[in-house]
Amino acid sequence: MVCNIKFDINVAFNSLLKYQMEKAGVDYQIGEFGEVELFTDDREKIDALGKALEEFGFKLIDSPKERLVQKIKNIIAEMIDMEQMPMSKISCYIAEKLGMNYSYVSTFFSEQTHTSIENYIILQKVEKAKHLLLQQYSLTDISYMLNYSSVAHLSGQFKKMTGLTPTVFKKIIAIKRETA
Amino acid sequence: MNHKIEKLKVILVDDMEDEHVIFKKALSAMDYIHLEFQSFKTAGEFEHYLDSASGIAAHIVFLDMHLPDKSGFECLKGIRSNPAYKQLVVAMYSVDKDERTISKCLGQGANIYITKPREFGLLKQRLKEVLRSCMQYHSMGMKFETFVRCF
Repeated sequence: MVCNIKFDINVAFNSLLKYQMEKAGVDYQIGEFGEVELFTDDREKIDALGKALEEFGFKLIDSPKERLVQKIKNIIAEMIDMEQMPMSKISCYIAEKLGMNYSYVSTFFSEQTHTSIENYIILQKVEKAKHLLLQQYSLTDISYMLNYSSVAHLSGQFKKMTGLTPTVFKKIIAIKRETA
Repeated sequence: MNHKIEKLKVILVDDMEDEHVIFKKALSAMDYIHLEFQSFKTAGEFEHYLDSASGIAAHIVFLDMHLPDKSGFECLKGIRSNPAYKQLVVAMYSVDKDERTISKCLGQGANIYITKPREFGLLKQRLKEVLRSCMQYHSMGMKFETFVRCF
């Protein structure tokens, strides 16, 4: 029998996190930017928790720099997911949300990830576009969902970042799936 | 999974000594990434290395389409049929820029296809972009199946 499984990634994540935290006996709270506050200083418990979460593809980040990078990435992911790109310049929006200086956030992100915030956002939008293409959404729908001014704008950016048109990309993935 | 790469392991499989020299020269111009570069002249030599490699064999493999003992395409098939290397990043290259060739390579499992430019400066620039793309893939935790690019 063949069927599809539809899932909500947030629900899945929260359930898994809850289970692992309860198992480890650690109290926690999820913050505004996707950060998780652990109400324990027991290093052993935290390390064990980190190991358990790694099995599910989660990584415990506790270096301040890495945490800030992750916060910025979370804000961007949320923006793209909610299909709401802010009207103002994106770095400014992020800096405002974090309560930090705009040029600091920009510079910091570039130093840590070797890519500008703007470029990172374009990369993430294209990744999302790929995902939506494979879910059979039309280019018109996708350009609307990702806040592109037109299908031409979406295709143009897609081709710029991947070297392929959305149509050729879909064809290639179809061949890959047949071959696998 | 995201992870920061301290040293990028790059492998080149090409039978022409000239290409080895050119690639090495182009790669040594990358000032912001630490690279570990290895090269092989035949598919056989490269496959032997893969069989004995432990840990991460490479972050990216540049595979020439025309090798003396096996076509690059056949070599790619072999890599992908090995469960240990299903997620090895492979970049195939050739002077051929036909869309059918590109689709064939990417469809067979290459992540990247590079149309080799004749001019050294342009090749250097293109390789830089490929490596940057590879670093982004590894550090952003992108999905492997949809990591396909044409340069």
